[in-house]
Amino acid sequence: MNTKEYISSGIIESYILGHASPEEAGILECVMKNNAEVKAAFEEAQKTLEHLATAQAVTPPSDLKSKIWNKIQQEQTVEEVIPSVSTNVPETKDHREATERVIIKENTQWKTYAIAASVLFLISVAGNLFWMNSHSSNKKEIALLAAEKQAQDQAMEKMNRKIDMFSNPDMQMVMLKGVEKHPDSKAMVFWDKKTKEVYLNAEKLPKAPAGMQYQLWAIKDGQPVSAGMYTEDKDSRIALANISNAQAFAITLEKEGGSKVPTMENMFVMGEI
Amino acid sequence: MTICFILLHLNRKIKAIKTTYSEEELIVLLKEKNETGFHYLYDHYSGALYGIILRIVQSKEYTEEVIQDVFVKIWNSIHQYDSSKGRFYTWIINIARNTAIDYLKSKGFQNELKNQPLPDFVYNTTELSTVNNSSDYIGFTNVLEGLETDKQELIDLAYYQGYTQHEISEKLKIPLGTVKTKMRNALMKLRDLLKDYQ
Repeated sequence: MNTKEYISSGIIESYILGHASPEEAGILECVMKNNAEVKAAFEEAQKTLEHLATAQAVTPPSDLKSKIWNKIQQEQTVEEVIPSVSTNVPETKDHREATERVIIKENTQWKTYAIAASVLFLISVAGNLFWMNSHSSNKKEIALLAAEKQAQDQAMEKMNRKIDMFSNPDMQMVMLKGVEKHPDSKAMVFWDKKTKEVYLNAEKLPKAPAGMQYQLWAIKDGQPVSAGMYTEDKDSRIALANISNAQAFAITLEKEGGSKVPTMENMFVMGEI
Repeated sequence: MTICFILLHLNRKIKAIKTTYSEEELIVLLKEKNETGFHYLYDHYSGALYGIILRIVQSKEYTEEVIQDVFVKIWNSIHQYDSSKGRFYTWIINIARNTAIDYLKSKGFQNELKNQPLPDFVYNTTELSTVNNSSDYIGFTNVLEGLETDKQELIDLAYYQGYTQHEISEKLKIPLGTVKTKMRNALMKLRDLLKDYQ
């Protein structure tokens, strides 16, 4: 429902007339806080009924004002006087009956207090049980949150490392694109021109099957030279090899530990410098 | 400290001297239980509230009883007023409406009234002189008569007779959703009509 439909549904008028259900009222109060159009329609509708009241005003009798003020003051003084009166009643014969009534009243009051006290006790027991319960679930929640935070910290650390690599001016980046068989695969080689170290970011490659490992190759003058074995642990972090000269890089999937020559049909990605 | 006290004192005096207040200022005065607040409240709103109550309970005698309760209620429950839920004037109007409608219910009038045709004065001021107790209604301005009859009836049922929307839906034999949109249309018409009275 959009704002216009909501306004024309008549909910605002229902609310002002006191006809809206608590749920409808809650929704409207919330909507008004965030929607200026609804808020404006609400003000407008209120003003209409206020203008009606003003236009249809009838002058009250002239003595009404003082009557009402007296009533207000009376109510206030009654509230203030009542508690002090009961403590100052002197006991006379006439008052004995009244006093007895007071005692009876006090008796029942005592019972009321006792009941109230036991109810409070029960509530407190229930509250403690509830608290203990929620305490243990809180502990679990905290452990869960701690684990979550640790995972997030690790992800953050990884991200920072990548940012460092990107921002290193000596770092040459080589984009390795998926070959015909693996068009969706890609990887990135970071080659430090100063230290000659080669890092690999290969998270976009499919997970290597058991017993297999990705091997990075540097192509120098048409000859593939092994540039190290990749593990997820090394990703963007630990240099795979030192390569002084290359025109291209490629990655193949090899048996664990690597091969002397690349298995060409298992090539995933390749990129020229 | 002393300066603050003097300033506060001066501020109070200024407030007491002032003759017009914004709704916010009036609310502050009422919360302070300031007598000036009462005078201002009464002088500015008693006519409107009196008019509403009179239309609901339809007797000057009852109206005088009800309006006293209404002012005491406003005075005592001003702390419950929440400006995020509506304007102050609307708040006191609703206190007056609810108190008057409850008064009728407590007197057992409500069913009686609901089973009766709508009082003539709701629709036609010229016939007032022929209605019983007509003296009570002399001087009524009836803005609603500028509306079409079905709109008058709708506002009268919901606003002055305290019908719920379900009850209106049953009485007028129209679906509940239609009651809501019709009510909105009636109030929009009323708004246009009221522009002439300002």
